[in-house]
Amino acid sequence: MTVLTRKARPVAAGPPATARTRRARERAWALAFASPYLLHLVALTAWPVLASLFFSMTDYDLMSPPTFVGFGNFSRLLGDEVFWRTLGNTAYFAVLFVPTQTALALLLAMALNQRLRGMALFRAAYFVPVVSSWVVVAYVADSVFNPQTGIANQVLALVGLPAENWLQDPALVIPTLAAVAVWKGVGYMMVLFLAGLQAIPEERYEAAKIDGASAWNRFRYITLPGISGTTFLVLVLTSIETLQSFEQVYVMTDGGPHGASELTVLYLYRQGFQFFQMGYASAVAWVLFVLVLVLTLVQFRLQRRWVHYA
Amino acid sequence: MRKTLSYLLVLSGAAVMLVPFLAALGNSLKSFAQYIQVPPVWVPDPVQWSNYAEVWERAPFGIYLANSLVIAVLAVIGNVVTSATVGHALARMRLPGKQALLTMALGTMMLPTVITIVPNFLLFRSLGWLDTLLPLIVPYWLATPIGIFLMRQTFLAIPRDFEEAAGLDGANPWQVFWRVHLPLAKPALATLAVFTFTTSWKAVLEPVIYLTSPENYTLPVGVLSLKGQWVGNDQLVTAAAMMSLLPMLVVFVLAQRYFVRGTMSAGLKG
Amino acid sequence: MKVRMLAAGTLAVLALAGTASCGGGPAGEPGAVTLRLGFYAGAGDPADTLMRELVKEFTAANPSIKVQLEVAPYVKFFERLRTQIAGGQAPQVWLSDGVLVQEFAARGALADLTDRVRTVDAAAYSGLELNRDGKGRVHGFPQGAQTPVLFYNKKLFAEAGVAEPTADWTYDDLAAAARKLTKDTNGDGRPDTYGFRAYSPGFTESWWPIVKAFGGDVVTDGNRKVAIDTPESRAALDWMLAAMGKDGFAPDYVTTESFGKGAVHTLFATGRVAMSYGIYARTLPAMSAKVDFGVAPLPKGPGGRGNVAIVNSWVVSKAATPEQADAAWKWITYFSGEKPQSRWAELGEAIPINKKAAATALPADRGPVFLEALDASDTLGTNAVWSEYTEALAKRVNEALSGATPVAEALATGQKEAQQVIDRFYAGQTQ
Repeated sequence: MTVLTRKARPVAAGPPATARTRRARERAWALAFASPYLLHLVALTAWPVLASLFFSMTDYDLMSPPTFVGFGNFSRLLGDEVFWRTLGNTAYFAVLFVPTQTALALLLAMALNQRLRGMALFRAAYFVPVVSSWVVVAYVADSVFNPQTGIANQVLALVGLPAENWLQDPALVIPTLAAVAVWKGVGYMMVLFLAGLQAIPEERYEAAKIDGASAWNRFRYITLPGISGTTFLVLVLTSIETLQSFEQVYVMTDGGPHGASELTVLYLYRQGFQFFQMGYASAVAWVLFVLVLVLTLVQFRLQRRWVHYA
Repeated sequence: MRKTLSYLLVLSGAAVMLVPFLAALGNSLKSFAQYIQVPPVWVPDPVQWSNYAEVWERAPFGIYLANSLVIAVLAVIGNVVTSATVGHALARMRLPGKQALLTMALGTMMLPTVITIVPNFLLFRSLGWLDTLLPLIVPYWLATPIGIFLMRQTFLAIPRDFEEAAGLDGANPWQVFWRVHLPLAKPALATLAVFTFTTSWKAVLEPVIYLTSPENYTLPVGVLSLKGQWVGNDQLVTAAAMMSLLPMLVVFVLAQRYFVRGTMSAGLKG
Repeated sequence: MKVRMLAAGTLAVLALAGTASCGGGPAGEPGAVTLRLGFYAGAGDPADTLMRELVKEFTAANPSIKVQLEVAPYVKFFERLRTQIAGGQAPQVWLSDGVLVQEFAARGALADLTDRVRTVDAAAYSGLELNRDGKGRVHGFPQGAQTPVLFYNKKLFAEAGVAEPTADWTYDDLAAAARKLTKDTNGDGRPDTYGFRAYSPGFTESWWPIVKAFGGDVVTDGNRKVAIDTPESRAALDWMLAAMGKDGFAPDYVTTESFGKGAVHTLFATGRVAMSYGIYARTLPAMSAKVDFGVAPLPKGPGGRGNVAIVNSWVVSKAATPEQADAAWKWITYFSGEKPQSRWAELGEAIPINKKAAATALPADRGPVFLEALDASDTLGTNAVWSEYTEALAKRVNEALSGATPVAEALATGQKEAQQVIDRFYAGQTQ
């Protein structure tokens, strides 16, 4: 808050051009330029973090004032099997989704990096799902995974396999969702990898070729270290995002069948906005927040072992 | 040999990307009877273009479209302007605690949005902004961490001499920013603009929480609401979904290089 | 809280500077009241159309009251309503599913109607008492009643040469008839017509009455104790599983689900099933589809018929101004009158709660079956966390009905999880 009160004063000050006042004026300008973000920090960072911590220790149904319950919500969380199941679902989804998308994106990026003709066109094709909203993707995915009319079962029938129920099968719903998520996100990640690949100097490959290094060894000792920085960034950002997946399941399955695809943030949304338990929803948010934080920190620690910055 | 393999991979990948869209497009042009026909018909017969007209007739689609546009355009203006000023302050100005701010911006980029859902709802409720478009616009007017990064990098790369060369001695910092630096940052601004547009256009969670009157619905929420209303008319909802994609596709085709540039330079997510 | 105020203040300033405000309070001429009225119906449904007509007649008779309608299909309506309640923006009067009245009331969202209800002649309406809570307060006024009975397709029965259901039918009779009614006409190995619809995502017309008919129970002790994990309930679910599995006279879980949400209610109207449990509102789609159908009492099981009822009710928001609350009550009294109630019943939408209308407006063949079922009915286990605990329970029961989990395991888990929900809410409450 001191920051904010300080900003107003120097702007009003007069123009004498001594070095000190000039510096003060510069500082005032800088603060004015930065003020949107200062507000952002107060209203959209500090407030939510502190408020949700406070609400996580209350019972709050949005109509009567919150009542303090200490760690009651957290101890309830510990015994809430549905919450743990949503966390399990989320982890399962992430474990399927993140590595698959990363591997496929890298593969495609390496293929595209061959200076293929029509590269821009291909890149665009892979980007269309990226810019589509989940509502659109839900209908596009239905044309593939509808058990009666979808492409997927037609393809299975062609090769003589029995039809599957995809999103209606509790055992298949998460893998199917992960497949759709990969389909939607792979283009974005591919472009990131492409940027990383293009930053690797061509001479390194030439030199390795002259030394007689095999294709695998060139990949292993030049490409992989060369893009490890990109990979790290990509992994951190996608893990953070994946643990918070909401829109996909909200639009495509609403957590069904029988809660088999209920992810933690969907659970949070329903506890808070449908069952009026904002305190409990905030506790769920904090647990997830801490998990994301821990995971991010672990990734940062591990990066020393495998990330090479050129 | 390697090129052929690569082509094969990339081509089949592109097919996997696009065929589902074509199938959905096909679905949107069928009659309902054909839509649910087993085994499925791939090419609608007859092609029912009237489905699209029917969506316009039966749903306030124009209102959804207008809301989405208003939100996206204002979000773009807000984010571009404020991220640029903040980025400028961090790159080119004498700002106390600059390093700390930068670190905090990095930190908030890692802050899961899940933590903000409940408090922001309460904040906007206390402001009386629920069921208005404001909660979907105003946050963009407070600069986004990712935009700040992008703009800071851009402004850092502009050589110092430009300020002097521009003959703006004695000009105030706003004039320097506005007349010298901003014009040089146009590509980055465009990149930030398309990414903000995409993020805003695609949003589902926030509109679902903040908008309750159909006259305030954005396209995704509007299309979602049709799903419950038009039971037995899924071909129409599919048509509505396809139409909601169209403006985004236009922006994408026109500004493709900025999407790619943005992704490459900052890891922005659209 | 300082942070919050600061944040609020700065954001407000920014908003004024940056964008045009989209909000705005309703302002009208003096003496006029604007009433936001919510109800659920599919757009363009006959029910939607009739409700709009009734509202128009009401405002014509009460020119000082302006009504703004907020209409959405069932699921969307209540999802949106909950968000509106959370944001303090609920309509002043809305049609609540009967099972949700207690839930909204317990959160302090509803005006207390006890005093107003005292002014009406209690003997003229049914369902009034179902809205009274443990403390004797009333938060809703009946709009229409729903109770499931057995719908059957007369044409399909005649074609198969099966005798129509009677009041003496048992579950064995039902199964025997259903088996004869199941037909695979195109020879693809899957029936095109099924004898009976057993599974539905809506349990009111599916496992709830069946569990009760088999002598099981869902909740007891003033609806605070989940008691479904019993041999009787297991027998009920086993019967349903057999119907969808080895007996094959009912579409199975996946077939039903892949028709899409909402489509389950059209199975009977489209002749895909010859028999189905249906509430009164299902007569509307059946009549629109011109199905020649009859209704019979639910078959008897070891535990009776298992009749359950829901009394959908008008509720008034606690946030309504006194003028709006008065206007809302006027609307409620208008809707409960004999004429609107009769028209609503003739449409096939609900059993009238106005007894005079119930005596005259129900079709002679179907009316008595519904009224008798209504008289014999229990509530659907309503309490303050109804949607949350029934959802927890239904998830597990459906898991069993889809064959994904053994019945015994599903019932045990479902009972435990549903009980957790109830205990959580009532633990801190003396009520």
